Amino acid sequence: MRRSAFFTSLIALVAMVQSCKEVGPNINLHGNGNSIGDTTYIESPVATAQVKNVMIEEFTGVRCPNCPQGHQILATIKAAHPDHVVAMSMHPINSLGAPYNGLSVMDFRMQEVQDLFTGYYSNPGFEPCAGIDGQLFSGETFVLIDKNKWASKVDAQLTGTTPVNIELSKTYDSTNRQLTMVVELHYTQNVTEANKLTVGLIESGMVTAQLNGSVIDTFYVHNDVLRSFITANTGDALSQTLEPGRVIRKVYQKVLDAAWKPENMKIVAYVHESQNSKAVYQAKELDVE
Amino acid sequence: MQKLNILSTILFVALVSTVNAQWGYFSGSVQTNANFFIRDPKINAFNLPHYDNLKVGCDAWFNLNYTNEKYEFDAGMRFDGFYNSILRVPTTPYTGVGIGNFYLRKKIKDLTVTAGYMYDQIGTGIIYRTYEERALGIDNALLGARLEYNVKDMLKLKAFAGVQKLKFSIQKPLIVGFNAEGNFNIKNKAMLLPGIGVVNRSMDQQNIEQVVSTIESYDTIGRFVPKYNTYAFTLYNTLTVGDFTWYAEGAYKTSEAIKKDQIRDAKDSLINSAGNCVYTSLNFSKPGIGITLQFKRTENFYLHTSPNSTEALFDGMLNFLPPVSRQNSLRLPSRYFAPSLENHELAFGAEITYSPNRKINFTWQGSYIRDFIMKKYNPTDTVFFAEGYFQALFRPISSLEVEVGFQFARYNKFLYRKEGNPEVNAYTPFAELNYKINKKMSLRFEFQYQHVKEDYGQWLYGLIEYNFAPHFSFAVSDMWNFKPNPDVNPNANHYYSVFAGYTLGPHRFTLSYVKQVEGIVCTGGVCRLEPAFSGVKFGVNSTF
Repeated sequence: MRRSAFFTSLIALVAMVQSCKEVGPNINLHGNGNSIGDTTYIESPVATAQVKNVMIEEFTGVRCPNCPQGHQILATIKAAHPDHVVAMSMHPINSLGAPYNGLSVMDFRMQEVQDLFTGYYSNPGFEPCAGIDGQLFSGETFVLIDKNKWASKVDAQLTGTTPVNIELSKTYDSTNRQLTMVVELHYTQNVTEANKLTVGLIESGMVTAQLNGSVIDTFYVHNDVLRSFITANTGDALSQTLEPGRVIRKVYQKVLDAAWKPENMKIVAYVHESQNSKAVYQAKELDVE
Repeated sequence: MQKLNILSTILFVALVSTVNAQWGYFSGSVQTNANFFIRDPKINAFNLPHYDNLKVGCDAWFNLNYTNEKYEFDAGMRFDGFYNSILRVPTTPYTGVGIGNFYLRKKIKDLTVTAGYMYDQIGTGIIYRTYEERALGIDNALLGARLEYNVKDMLKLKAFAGVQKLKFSIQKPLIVGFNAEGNFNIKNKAMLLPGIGVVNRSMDQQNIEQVVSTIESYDTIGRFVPKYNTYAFTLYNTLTVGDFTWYAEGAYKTSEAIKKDQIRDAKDSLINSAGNCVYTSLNFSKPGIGITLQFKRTENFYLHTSPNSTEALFDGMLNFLPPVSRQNSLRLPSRYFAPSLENHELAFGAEITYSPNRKINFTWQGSYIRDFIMKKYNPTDTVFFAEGYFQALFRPISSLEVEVGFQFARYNKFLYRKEGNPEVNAYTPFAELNYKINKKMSLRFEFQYQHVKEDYGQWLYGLIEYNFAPHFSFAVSDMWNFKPNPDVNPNANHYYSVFAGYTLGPHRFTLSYVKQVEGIVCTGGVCRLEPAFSGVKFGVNSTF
């Protein structure tokens, strides 16, 4: 009896070993292939802090009936706070994002967005949803919140300050469609939390099918859609000491896809925490052309 | 009349026993330590908040247990109070008050169920150990549930799950474990006590994101996908044949992000590695002679709740690697000790005790600890630790006990303390004398000298202790760095200590004035560097 129980335990252990395989966390293993420059220095005097901008990371889908309402809310918020709200609409790979056969002419879905949606952020179980400055607001279970709460949270975030300024510049060579982006971060306050920089390219004015209520609108205009991450989807780590006067200058290069229209595109950059929270400190956008 | 007295006593005892069995009983303990910090820049007891500003600190534990043997039930609770406490982090006073421990335990036939905070271990603790070590601020109890099932008292099965305690909160990673221990008697000639164990640690999202963030800060060549889970397995056995007892344990853990050996290459702090550890001890014991041989090999056996940095050195520790070197109790010989290392270690230990008669006892001990990788990495690579120890104990008359001995220790200070000379050689002769003046009074003397050129220089230590049983105890001592090494300490400092203790029944009160040199403090085979201490200590201990 006791011997058989002992060996049964041994077999159970071996069985456990077989079930040890797991899906690891989302991690950037290969660095940033778009990066062509990375320098840092301390400037004096320390720059004056910029006005705080708010970053809206929206998760949406073409088969999501309520998502057009979300797009409308985003447009209203942006119109109310010109130059102080940056929005990025992202399409995860799920049932709400699958293009319509014969009706859709574009597929906005990206695996990196899906990883972000279910890995980096916890999927709240509905779309549209959005992270407002990456904050986990009081009383909320998830960072990604319902569309009806976006406006009030943006207003609240706009009253805050930022410890880091973002300066964006670019050169675009239309002959070879090469875009060179320069992102300069100027820290004006000491930051002890680990920070990351996320850079992406968004495009507006794209027409393709979208479910709107119960109707599939084949002439729907999609705006602020993420086309590509320039950094890792969860951002590139800033390994320097983040003290007042710290300047981090990163240069990226990307050849734009032939299907993208540079005149409708923007560079989006935002600095955020990466360990104890996902709070966004500052966000900026700049036209590609 | 006398018979009547005896009868009434028996009846009273029987009645109390019945009531006890019915209602159960309470037991527990109280421990309070108060520290009054006295700033002393000469011995580096300054530039810390408790010396410069706070001045007073206090730690208190009140433990109350209830046991009901009739219903095979017990429960307990412990109040912990830390006020400007330097136990967890000796350089940073901490204040926190709350329920430090509670548990409920019920035996249902062969099944014992425990819920609450639990202290436990598997084997020698290589894959799992939760325990409390107050002197070092360690309390890594598991908050969860445990089931233990006894199969005819010959096979014990145990399963547990929970999260580790962190101060008055928890560490989020989940810990699940299983242990089976057998008890086999082979024809009354040999006894086998085999065991197997497995522990799974599953990291929470916040911790794994911190790991990811750390890895992403490396050059791409050092990056890897970290694991949420690690699984640690152990197989162990104690074999007793005649005068021999042989214990052997082999443990393996699956790969995960672990802290790298910081001495050799601190470029990337985390690496992805599996780990293993083998530990064995062979003991021979006969009247008059005892021999113990030990061996341990450790490779990347880093087992914590997560590899992320922690506030206190021992936070998140899930296991205990048994040390092979001797833990000395005398002040100067105990200054150099080799705690177990998690990354690379090959350790040998041997101890022989020989008593030709009741009046004489000899002890020889040796240990040798080094890296199992033979290749030299850099100039700081040398033996981690080596010790030769001899002690002779004489009892010429019943009231006198004389002990003399000598210790040689080679200590890689650079490895163990991340600073200083990699080859510190300490030569320490010592003597101890116990003299019983009469049935109540006794005197104890200690004399020690240490020559350690590569560290503090030369030391002398002396102690006189007077005991007046059963209540009083007094001691005066001085540790004098009479010929200091100017590279380490320019001053020929005295570290005085005056102690008074009073015992009254279950209560013990102590008051001491202490000056203690900065150094490694080890308790139960676990060590850490503590700054110098200067101040007055008051303690109360009581059990009921």
